[in-house]
Amino acid sequence: MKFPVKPLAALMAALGGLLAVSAGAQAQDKHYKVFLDMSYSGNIWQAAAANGVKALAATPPYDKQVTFKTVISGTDVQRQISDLQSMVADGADAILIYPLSPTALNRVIRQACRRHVTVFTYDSTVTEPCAYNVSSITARYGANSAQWMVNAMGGKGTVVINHGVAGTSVTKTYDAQALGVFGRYPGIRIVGEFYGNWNDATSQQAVANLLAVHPDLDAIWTVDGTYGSLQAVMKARPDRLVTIAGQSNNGYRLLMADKAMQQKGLKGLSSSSGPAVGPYAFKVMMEVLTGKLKLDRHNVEYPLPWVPYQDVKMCPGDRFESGCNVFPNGKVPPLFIDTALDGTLLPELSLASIQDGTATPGARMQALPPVKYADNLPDINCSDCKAPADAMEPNLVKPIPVPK
Amino acid sequence: MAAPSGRWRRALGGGPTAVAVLLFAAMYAVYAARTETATTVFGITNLLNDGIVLAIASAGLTLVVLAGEFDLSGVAVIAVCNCVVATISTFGDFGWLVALLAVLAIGGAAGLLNGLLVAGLGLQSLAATIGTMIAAEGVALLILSAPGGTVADVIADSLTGDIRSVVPVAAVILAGLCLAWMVLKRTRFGIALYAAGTDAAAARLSGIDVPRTKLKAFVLAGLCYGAAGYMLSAQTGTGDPRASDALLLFMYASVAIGGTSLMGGRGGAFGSIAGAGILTVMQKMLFALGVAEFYTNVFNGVIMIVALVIGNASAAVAQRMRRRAA
Repeated sequence: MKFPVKPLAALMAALGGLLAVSAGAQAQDKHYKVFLDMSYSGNIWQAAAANGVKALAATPPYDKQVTFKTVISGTDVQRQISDLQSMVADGADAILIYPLSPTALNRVIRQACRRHVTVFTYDSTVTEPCAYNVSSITARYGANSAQWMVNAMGGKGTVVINHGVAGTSVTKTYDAQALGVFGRYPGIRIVGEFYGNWNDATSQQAVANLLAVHPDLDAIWTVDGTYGSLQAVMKARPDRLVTIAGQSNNGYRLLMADKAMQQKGLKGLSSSSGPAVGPYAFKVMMEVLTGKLKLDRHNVEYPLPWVPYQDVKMCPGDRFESGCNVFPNGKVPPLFIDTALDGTLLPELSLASIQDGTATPGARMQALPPVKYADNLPDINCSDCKAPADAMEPNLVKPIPVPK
Repeated sequence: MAAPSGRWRRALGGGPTAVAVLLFAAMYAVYAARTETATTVFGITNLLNDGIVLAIASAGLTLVVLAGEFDLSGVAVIAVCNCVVATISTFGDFGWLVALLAVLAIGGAAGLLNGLLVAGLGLQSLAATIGTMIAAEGVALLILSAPGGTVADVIADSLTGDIRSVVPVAAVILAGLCLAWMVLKRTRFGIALYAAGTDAAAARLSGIDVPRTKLKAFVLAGLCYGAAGYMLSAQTGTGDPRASDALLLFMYASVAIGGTSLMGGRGGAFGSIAGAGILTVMQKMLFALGVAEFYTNVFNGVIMIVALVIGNASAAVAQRMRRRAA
């Protein structure tokens, strides 16, 4: 194709002049185009994470500095690739992704980085080195939760394993950690396992079936679907409950803290991945984008939520303040995930932020405490790298000795 | 105004495939009007790369559907092939070739199994291919228990790039696919396929070996799934054992939008490729239009239904025109 050269040159010159002028103006008030790429929608965890991000994007000063857009890519990785291409073509300054695969997006992310787009992931990670990962996947949930259960059970009893989704790196990592810990105690017997797909209804059904075969079951290890798993036990065996570790639904935390339940044998741990990792990743990303923060390494760890049954504390208001971590019955639905809020790292968020994606009235963005860099985990947040020697060991709980 | 309306009627009478192509063109125009990079080689290469896996897979599925059967195993076979490519393609200089032969063998074998179950044993295709699907999903997990592995750079770079920065490689592959379909359609097998799908009993009476035709359709579909798995590997550069259920639905949607009757005997692979194009460009168009997040799926659905309605109307018009001509 041929263009008339002279008018084009004149146009370029004029455009150049215009750019020079606007660059001067931008230096004082730089504006950023930021995208959130969700995968699944219509899922409590995903919605809570996305609402937290939206609320922060609407909190001053970001409400003025950021043009923010959310895109839902669904569960097909090719669609996510297509949407990421579109965001780059649309002139994105930064993209926050919930990646559908740790490796399949690497090529399109590399394309984005080459065009100076800042790419962050939350919760799930990618191995592409130019992207930043913000996640708790390196915080050893599998090892810590299993060790907590072993300690609570005194090193003996029967356990059912509620795996997450088959074929995901999270499931593979947490399973290996948990099975490693359980395997060290000959008194612990794994009597059943199933893939609960991080789903409460699926988990409830499967636990109900297993209880029919193993009526004297002592414990259930889960990653999610914890509330459903416990509901199945409460239906089938209301007078004899279990030791259980898993997610942080409000209803589950209330049951854990209930003295009557504890007397029937319920010992619960509320942990697992929290939706607050989404808004936290947004906060880190914005500080990197605006030049306030420089990250030496690309893998950042969001601290693992950790509330054993003794530590549940009721919140009087709409925020997690002074260490409280559960809402009274009726204030939120039982499946509301309490770890969508974080009083320490995300004081800007309130209950309304998580439920409607709106900024908390009067809130302003607070400075971020120093970030914690994450361990390397090959094929999860890096390739051609080595995991630390103790990557599969618990680091939050002290193991009890193996009973004789 | 008589001429354009006449032209419209002719286009509308061109059957669902012509409608699918027109709809694709219209959606592409909307996307291009709002996206600078849409008409660059870079943009076109991206678009074709995004759609080619779906296009190849739905072209294969079309053969089975034309023969009057269903095949749900496609996505799981693609997942197996993806895992295999991510596992073996980096061995030696000819890893890419070994991997290519492997995926075609796997696809062909899965197709043969489907064909034997359906055409040989007379099992219901819907049920039999659910069985192969579940088995293949398991095999994918046995090969890779979590996403990982590496696809040889030679595969990833050569299949997703462009030739001399002008012609996207994916365009060449698509052209080859269309050509293969045009030839296939005119062979004895092609004619037998339509006959078997329209009325199996009548086809048998006129000397067509219906089971053999169906068996061949399943095998060819399997080969297409293998090729689609290879292309998916090229695009993602890695293996992922989880088959995307969404892709299976998109395959059937492509076939239906392209005007192939799910009852068999009517339609063609060309329409399915256009259907895959529509579903791919739709994602880009909705992004360019800035459709608010939660409405994306609603729009997806509405556009699909509109495509089906127009396609159906078009088929009726075409029939009336043929009757008038006769």
